[in-house]
Amino acid sequence: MRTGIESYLSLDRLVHEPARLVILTILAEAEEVEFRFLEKVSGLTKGNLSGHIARLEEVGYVEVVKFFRGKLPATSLKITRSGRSALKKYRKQLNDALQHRPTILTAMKKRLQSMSS
Amino acid sequence: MNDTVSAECHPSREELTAVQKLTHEYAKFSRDAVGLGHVFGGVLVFLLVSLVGRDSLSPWEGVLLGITPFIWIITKEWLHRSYYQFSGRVTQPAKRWHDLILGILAGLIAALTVAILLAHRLAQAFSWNLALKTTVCVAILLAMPYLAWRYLRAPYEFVTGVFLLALSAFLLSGDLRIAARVAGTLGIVAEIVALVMILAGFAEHMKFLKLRRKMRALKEQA
Repeated sequence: MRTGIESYLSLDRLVHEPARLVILTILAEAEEVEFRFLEKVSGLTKGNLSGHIARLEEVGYVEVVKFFRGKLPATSLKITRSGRSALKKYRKQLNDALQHRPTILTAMKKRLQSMSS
Repeated sequence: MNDTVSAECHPSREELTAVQKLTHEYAKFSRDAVGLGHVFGGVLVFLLVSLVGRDSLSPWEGVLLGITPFIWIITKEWLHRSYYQFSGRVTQPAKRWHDLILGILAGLIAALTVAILLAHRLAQAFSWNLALKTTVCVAILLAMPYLAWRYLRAPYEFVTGVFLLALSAFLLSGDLRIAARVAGTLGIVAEIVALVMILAGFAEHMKFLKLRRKMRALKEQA
């Protein structure tokens, strides 16, 4: 069984990044989400959001769909099966880490004490 | 952009739950929540039941009333796609089995209505006018399963929608007497459902207005 500190250290950094965590959380609640909505709800700028989406697409956590609404181009996003399971796993690991928080603090204190002595 | 853990400004569980809830509520308006579409459909049921029951209806008035269910479906879809999705399209996860069951149920109702209609018509003497009327009516009834599967997915709108489409099939084919009989026998059930639908529609619309205020506040914060 993992200890709290192990759970914390094994967190998926790609999901743990705040902006990407918000993006995945939003995408997990719907089948398809338009870029415009993500931009408004996440509060991120277009460029920042595009960068994070590109990173998530690269690892296969999201799928980007480009389409035209009339003559205007638009973008939609879908969370993939691996993205959904990564988010689920991340939540579980974070919960484990939070449950073992006192153990993490004790371990850190012990390490500090051994370093100072 | 790096993959390091940034402890500061990391979203709290409450913030993530709020974002999740907001997305979920907004996505509902792409499918399950019909809002003003429910209100329009409910009012249409009351209107059609009261007007179709009259003997004085002319064939042209019948045609005009017969196309109203299609106008309702188009308006409902516009509300789903544009008005209620004002900040970009966010679709609710599909309920494929649920939709399929509704389509099959509508198919059974359509098949039963077509069978009764054809049995009735075959007993009558052949005329081209009667054949044309029957073709129009059967075509609309056969389109019903597709329309139910695609556009009538909420429970109230399924009941009233199937009723309105059946009524429309008889009105557009010029069978005003059969339409009056359908409105007379099933009208009361459809009106009860329509009343619930109007109330549910208002409640959903109020929820939408609250959601829109919340999202506008988000924009101002940003």
